[in-house]
Amino acid sequence: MRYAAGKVVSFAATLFIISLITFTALQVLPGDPALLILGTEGDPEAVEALRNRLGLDDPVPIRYGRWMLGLLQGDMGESLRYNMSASELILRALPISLMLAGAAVGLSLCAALPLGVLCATFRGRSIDLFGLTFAQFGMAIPSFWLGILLIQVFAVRLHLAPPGGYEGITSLVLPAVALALPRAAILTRMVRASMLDVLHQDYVRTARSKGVSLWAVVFKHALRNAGINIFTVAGIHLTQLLAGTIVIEQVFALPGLGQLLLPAVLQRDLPLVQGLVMIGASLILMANLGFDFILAALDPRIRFD
Amino acid sequence: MRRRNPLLVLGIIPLVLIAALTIVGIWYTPYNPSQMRVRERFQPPSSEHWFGTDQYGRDLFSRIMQGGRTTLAVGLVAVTVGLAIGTALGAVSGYYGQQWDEVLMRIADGLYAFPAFLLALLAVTIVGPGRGTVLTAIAVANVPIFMRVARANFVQLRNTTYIEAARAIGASDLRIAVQHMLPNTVTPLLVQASASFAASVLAEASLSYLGVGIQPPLASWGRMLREAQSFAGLAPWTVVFPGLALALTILGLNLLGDGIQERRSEGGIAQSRHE
Repeated sequence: MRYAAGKVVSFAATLFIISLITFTALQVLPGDPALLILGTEGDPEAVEALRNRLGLDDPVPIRYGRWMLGLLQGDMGESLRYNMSASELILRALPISLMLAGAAVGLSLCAALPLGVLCATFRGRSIDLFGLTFAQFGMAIPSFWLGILLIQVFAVRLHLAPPGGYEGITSLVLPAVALALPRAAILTRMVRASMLDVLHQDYVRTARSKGVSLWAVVFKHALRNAGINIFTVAGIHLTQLLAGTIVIEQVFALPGLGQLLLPAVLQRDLPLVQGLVMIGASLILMANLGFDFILAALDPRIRFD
Repeated sequence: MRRRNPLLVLGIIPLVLIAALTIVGIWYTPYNPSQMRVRERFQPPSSEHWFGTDQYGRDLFSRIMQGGRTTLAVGLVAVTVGLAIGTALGAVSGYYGQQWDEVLMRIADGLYAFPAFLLALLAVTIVGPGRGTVLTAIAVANVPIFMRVARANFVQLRNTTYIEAARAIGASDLRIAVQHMLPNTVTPLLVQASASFAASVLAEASLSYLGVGIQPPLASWGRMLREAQSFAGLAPWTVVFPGLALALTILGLNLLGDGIQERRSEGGIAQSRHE
């Protein structure tokens, strides 16, 4: 219990720091956000109107407090570009991004777990060499480039999938593959390394020498223990999943969070940018928190440390 | 006798090739990379245009030579800055420990928790897209990574006998840190540097592809892919070659990092110190 409470407190603290950085960066550093949005040559009346709309005449701490209070109630203010609630826009785009990211994680796990285990079990053999080569190429190929190529081959030439936009679940197949490849590559290496660590332990040798079959040792003894390692490292890579999702959504013109964020960034739609940064950061932190709990459930050493 | 290290060799070959093309590109390219020849648009690869031409009839090979300059320079500077600042702060943190460690690593954790990609997009929102913005954001994101590597090594070395001996004969803190501890941290830092270099190149390319990174008239591989995507069906070579250049660079850097790592685990610490 103390472990869980500690994790939740640190989750809240990190989120608070991120909110401070985001708010400071967008609302305090540029001086006057209204001038940032409209430019210094903006019409003074328009600037004044925007200042009123954003409530910029109040002191900074009050503005931060108001933003925070709104955030806690799910109100992120009004997007300047779309003239509608930022939360509503985000809520509409969120499912697509979540489905895409989830599918990519699932796919990469399906590829990396068996491949990594095989590589470690048959270390130095041809399957190991294949796995390592796959991992090197997977890490080197930028996912957005892979996405562009996949569209050309499977959508434009073979007509097997829609080339872009969201027309239903089939629209997510190619993007998920493009997003999953680099993840699968890194994960394969992690699984392999963790398995190799465990396979060298005394208890594995003991199990083997008393006659337990190779696969029973690999799955029952080694994979369980390696799993803890794998989960620990996998959490760190979630951050890159967010970046990858934003880029891939652009490649496939999917109406997810990325399609909201990029125009918002270029047009300085501050309420929307702030809301999206907070949503993105909290998604990553929540997933990490989930990872920590799973780890603690798997490994009592973590709970009682 | 040292065993051959295939990873190191495999990594260095594409890197040398791309670096050579990029450096030559500063003085010489087969065609003027930004000159438009409308009548020669969408030429497929041929003996005249090795990689074909783009929608404005610009020579793709020349543009890739020129784009590499931006991409590699941004990656190199971002990693060097991150390495220098991160190592210095991590060394202080690991060497002195206590409140130094507490404060510095808290800041590093805070930076680390903030997704680097969102940090870059925040920077673009404030100062607008461009080379400087992207460079700064990637460099800042690299700092905590090197801080952690340097700190972990300095903490480990702090209590070894040879450092104790150096302290006993009255060596100053600076001398111990720079002369005795830093050389033993070089290999892990180099491994991290090549991994971070690869990550930085990919980050710049992704941001430029999204249109929030390098802006025209500067060429960059990511930006080239952005502009070529709508013509990919008509002229596949316009998307194949810039991506290939990107993939080869990242592959080379990753292999290089793996190679250095492998060499270290084979040779041990003693060997790497005397090289």
